[in-house]
Amino acid sequence: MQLAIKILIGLLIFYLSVMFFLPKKELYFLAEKQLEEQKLIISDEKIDEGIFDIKLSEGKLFFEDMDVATFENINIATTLFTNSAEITNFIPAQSLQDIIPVGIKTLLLTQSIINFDMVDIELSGNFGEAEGVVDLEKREIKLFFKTDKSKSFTKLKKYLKKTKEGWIYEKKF
Amino acid sequence: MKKSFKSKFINFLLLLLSIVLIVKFIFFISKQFLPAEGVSQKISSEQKPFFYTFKATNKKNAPVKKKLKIKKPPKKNIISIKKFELIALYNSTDVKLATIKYNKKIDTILAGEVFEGYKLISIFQAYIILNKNKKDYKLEIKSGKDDKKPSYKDVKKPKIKKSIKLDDEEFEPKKIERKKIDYYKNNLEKVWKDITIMPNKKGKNSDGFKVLKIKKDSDFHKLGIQKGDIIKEINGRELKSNKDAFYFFKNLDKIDMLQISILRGEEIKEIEYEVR
Repeated sequence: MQLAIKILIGLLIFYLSVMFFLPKKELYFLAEKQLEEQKLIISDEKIDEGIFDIKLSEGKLFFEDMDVATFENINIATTLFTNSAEITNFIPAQSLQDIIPVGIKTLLLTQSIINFDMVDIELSGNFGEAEGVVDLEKREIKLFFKTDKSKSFTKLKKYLKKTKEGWIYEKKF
Repeated sequence: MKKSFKSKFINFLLLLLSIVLIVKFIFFISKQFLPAEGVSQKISSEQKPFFYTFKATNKKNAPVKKKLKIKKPPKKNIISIKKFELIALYNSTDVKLATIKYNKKIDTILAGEVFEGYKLISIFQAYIILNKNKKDYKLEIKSGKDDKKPSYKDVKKPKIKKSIKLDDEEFEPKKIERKKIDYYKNNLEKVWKDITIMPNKKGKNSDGFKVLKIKKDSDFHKLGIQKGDIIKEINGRELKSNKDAFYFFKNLDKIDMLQISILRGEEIKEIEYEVR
């Protein structure tokens, strides 16, 4: 019994030290370099490293040197078994607002070690609410939108497909 | 008994401490292999505008203009330069630009910009002054009989292997209604329905935009664009990335002239429209 407790304490200390000493900032920089290869750049962001998470604030998103969007906060957290990123106030750049009539208030991405190829998405904004998945294996995004009476949702409909399940956005990447 | 418990407890604490230290050491080592700095968007140098006013009139229909005051060239020892070819120039109070050819490279530069190490410092009616290493070089426009009035007739079209010869009639720019341009600017999905273009990749870079699909009888088709064409330049500016294409789309309402340079097969074709 005493041995089992000792092992448990040992594992707990190991887990906490991994979480505490994990070079989060450097791993984020590595992710940034990989995103840069896809021509996606997160710029001008303020980085705060927490004990279990990393917080980016007031950043800009560029794609192929184009100013695409701004965000207020991105909170990336990991428990080693699950990863999550919560994005708040993700606003498309002024020049894109006619094309992408979507202002995202909150976007939550979660990935679990059990189903590593699937990333769950929940989002809400001026268009209402939506949820869906990113299938990393099939390289596919599927979002289910709840019908909303807002103007933004009406504008968004041209990018969506109407099915029995409701309005769906599908994209292969 | 107590001593033994104490020593066991201390041993256990030491074990826990060593776990923490090992983890710390592993991450310290791995940190050395990870990037220490993030990526930031580099501010690109000033972009050449798509929307300069480029009046293309042939001599027959050219409106009679008052004589322009010709600036006197600077009293300096000016050397003529032969390795470049001056294809076109534009000189107004707002915009001064020149199109220069060197080997197969053609570039349109604004006053103050540098081409092949030569800075464009002045533009006159029939020539430009370039400066390199504090020396001034004069580059005259290639023309026939009338040196002082360069017209579109004088503009030499870039060649790859063969070039389509355009006569005076073809130089007469056709007209396109501004309301059509405004319509497309405000209805991007209509653009997507009528034409599909993709960057024409050459290695990591692209040398234009390939037309993958074009709707027959659409305005783009009427412009003279065909499936398989590679759109190389618009209004003298190369289309090398989505950014260039998007920048042009964003500034569509500011153009007075639409000059599209297209690679069709092995030929470069120029399409010119005046926006009215």
